[in-house]
Amino acid sequence: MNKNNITRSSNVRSSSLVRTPEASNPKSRIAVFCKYVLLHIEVVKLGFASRLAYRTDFFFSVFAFFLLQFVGPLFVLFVYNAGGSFPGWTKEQILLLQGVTNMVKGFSWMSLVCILWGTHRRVRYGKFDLLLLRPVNTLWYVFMVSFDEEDIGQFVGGIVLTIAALVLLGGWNGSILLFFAIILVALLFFFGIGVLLSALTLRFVETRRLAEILDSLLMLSGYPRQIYSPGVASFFSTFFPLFVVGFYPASALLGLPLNGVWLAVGCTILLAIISVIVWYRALRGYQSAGG
Amino acid sequence: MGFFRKTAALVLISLKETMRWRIVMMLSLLTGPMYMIVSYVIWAAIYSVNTQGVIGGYTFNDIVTYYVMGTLTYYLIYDAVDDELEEDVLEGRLTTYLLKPYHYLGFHIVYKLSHRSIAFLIEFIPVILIAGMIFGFKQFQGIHLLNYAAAVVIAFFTSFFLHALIGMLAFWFYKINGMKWLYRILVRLLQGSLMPLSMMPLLVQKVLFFLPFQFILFVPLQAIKGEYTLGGFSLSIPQLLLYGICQTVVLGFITFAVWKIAIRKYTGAGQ
Repeated sequence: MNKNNITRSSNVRSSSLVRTPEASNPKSRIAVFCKYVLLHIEVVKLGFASRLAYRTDFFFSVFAFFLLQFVGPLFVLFVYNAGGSFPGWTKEQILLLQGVTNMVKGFSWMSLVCILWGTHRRVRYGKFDLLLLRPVNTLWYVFMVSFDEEDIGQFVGGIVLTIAALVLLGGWNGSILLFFAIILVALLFFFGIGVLLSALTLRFVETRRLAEILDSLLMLSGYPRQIYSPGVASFFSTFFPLFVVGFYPASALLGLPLNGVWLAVGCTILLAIISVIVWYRALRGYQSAGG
Repeated sequence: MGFFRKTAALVLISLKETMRWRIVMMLSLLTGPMYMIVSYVIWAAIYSVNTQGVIGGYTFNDIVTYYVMGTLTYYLIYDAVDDELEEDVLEGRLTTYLLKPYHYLGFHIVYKLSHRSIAFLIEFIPVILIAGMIFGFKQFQGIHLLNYAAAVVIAFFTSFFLHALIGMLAFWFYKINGMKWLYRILVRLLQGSLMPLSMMPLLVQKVLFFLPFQFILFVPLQAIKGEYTLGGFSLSIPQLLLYGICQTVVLGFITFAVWKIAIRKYTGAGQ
């Protein structure tokens, strides 16, 4: 095969981008990237249109996920009401932390971690092969078609909670730029997790229980780093940098110290790179179960 | 065919079908202890700054036992009849069940019984051992086992009837994914899996006393302790179990009555 022509490899298990002579040109690369973004938006719009076939069910789902965001804060309120507390943090600060966590989780579940379910659904019923036939980057395409419309409720709920907490706190004392920068890192963390779980699904197929383990672990992200033992705190700042999800962004907003944040950022970037490498390796070993 | 022969046949079919999921069920050996450990860490932090050592009437050991036994109880009462009913209605598969010589809901009760029996062996017992190794077997000392077993039977049926009622919404709305999620989120709060119901504000406790949700998880976990107080109401365990049986029987009648109404809506149009 001539590697300079525009046809895809006949091997459907390869997942390369469409290669054109122009693709080596940086301006063309930007054009290709913009086309992918537009394609992503179109596929998401199609997903919404398809989901709205059962409107009542869709709105109930969105409302349910919206309400879900208030379960954690309710727990905190009931604990404080019953006489408990978290060391060094007020009720309002914990609510802010949980609001930020839920907001990041909501966006990530909607557009990043959803790749787990998208991959699982298609691999299990043999429809993943159809994605391999498309003339686009497979990994990005899986993200496009896996978009979870219902989690918009989670995302909006998180935003509402964050704003409510800021109102109760009377605003923020820290850096909003740093807050958004760490939020981007948090999204990168969930990108890495989503891609890793998708890779495991390509390899082992039945990985639904891993999502439950992830959910349990993510409960820890809604509480301050100080409540954990030094060993646990170090683990969730490095090998599994969970604190970038809620604790570090909330601390940035509150103007609190950000000890260990740069290590967490570095580990997140490493996680994302490793997950993409693992995903492509898993794809090379993918064996379809058929339709 | 006699009732007992029919039921025995259903049990056998259900057991064989359940064994298909044994590997997925075994993964509970990871997920269950993980949830217990996370809850333990969070509550340890809460109690570390509590000078009295008691929050909402619970010591730290009480809370650990609550979450450990709560996770274990969940294995015995887990239900998916709402998912099954929605799929069967949506895809028209319910028609084949209606032609069979047994009641659809009766079949699912037997199916759940078989499924949970396997779960008892594959999930409940191994996770007890794991929990004992992590938190110490002293968590299981002083447990009123007979009270707990009776309360779990009530929880089994209460959970089933509530899930079946939610599943029957599919007859009217077809896709009920959102409603199922809404129910699961609300019931998580109302049944006491998030935290003991007795830690909630008094007014909320008073309302919850009259609802059946407490019998799904909170009541079995109180039966273990051998004492029960909610919203200012204190009952002995035999009184509590009797109250639970009455609630479950009423719920059962409502479920079967709604089934009779719902089945008239069914058209059998599949995808």
